[in-house]
Amino acid sequence: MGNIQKKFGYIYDKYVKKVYLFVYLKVSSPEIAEDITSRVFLQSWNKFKEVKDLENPRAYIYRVARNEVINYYREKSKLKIVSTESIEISGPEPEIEEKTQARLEIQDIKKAVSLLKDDYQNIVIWHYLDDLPIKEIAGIMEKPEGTVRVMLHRALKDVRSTLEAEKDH
Amino acid sequence: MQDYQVINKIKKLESIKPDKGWVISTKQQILGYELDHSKVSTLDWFFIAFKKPVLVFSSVLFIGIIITGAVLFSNFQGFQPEIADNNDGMLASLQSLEAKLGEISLSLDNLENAEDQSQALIMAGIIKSTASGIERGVSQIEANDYKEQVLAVQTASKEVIEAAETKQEEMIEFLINDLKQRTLSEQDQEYLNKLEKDYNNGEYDQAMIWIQMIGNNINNN
Repeated sequence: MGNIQKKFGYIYDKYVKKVYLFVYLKVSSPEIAEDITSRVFLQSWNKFKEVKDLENPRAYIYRVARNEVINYYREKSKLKIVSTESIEISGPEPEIEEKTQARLEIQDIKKAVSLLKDDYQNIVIWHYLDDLPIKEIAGIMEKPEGTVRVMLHRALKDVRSTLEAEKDH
Repeated sequence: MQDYQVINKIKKLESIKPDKGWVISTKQQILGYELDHSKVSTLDWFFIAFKKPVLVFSSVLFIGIIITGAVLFSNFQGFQPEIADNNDGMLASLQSLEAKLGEISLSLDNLENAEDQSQALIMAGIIKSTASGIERGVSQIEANDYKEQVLAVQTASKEVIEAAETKQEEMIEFLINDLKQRTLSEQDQEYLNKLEKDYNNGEYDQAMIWIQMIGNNINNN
């Protein structure tokens, strides 16, 4: 394996699980998430070969991932219109103890995050699941840091409302 | 519900992970390398290792842990006395440790090319344990002056841990796939099932024990 392959292999190892999770939470299907994630890394690899390096691989890969998800929904909308409410939350079982209560809890959180507006979803996933600092998220989204903070606050509020509504049912 | 409770719930989503087989095969497809000659050698090492007395295998593992652990931890311990009387020294030591971790992280890529893959897999495990030890060690440094550098060392340690774990995953996964294609005795099949279960649970150290057990049987037969 060449040096450039090794370098990209390291980037792949570092981000593949995070990118998969990012995509999966948006499409709610493991097969589609795998397919989109593969395309994200293939596209990133082609870019990496072309420029020989990426200044900020994580930011680049997430931009590609966002575009691929948008493309997926664009293609899908040509076939039929789907409400976010109707997206079935299914997928791989989380690697946690096989306790029904824990599984149900994960399903509820997944649903609450899936129902967020796209930008809110991105911020929540990047900040809380990928530990990206606000500054870096602002860079990826090309928005001021203050705006990102406000959006994060609103996103948390929305997640809380959904979770509390689920609890009341 | 408080913000921190919502955040804790969101963080539970981290338990959702892609299929390990898909992660490995996609990497191979994208980077355009298949299980070629070098990978066949990867397989060979297991069975060469199995033909050696178990004592040798275990000794290599144990000596490796002692030597590597001693060298790396001496680097860490070395700067502890400097905390009280030498701020610059402390900072330099932390920076040096961060740089060393960066080098280790890069050298992990070379493990798959190592001639002796048995030692490569063992080394991946040792490196992971040592980096975990360093991460725990530096977290005990409470002085605010070094907060930033401590964080940098912790981040570097985490990267090494992740990279080492990925290497272990790849090597063990390859072995499991190969063993599945072989005709095994009933007992070895049982060990293989346990090996697969521990691998799927991320218990790589335990998985190594089952690899060794299967090796013992091949050696004895």
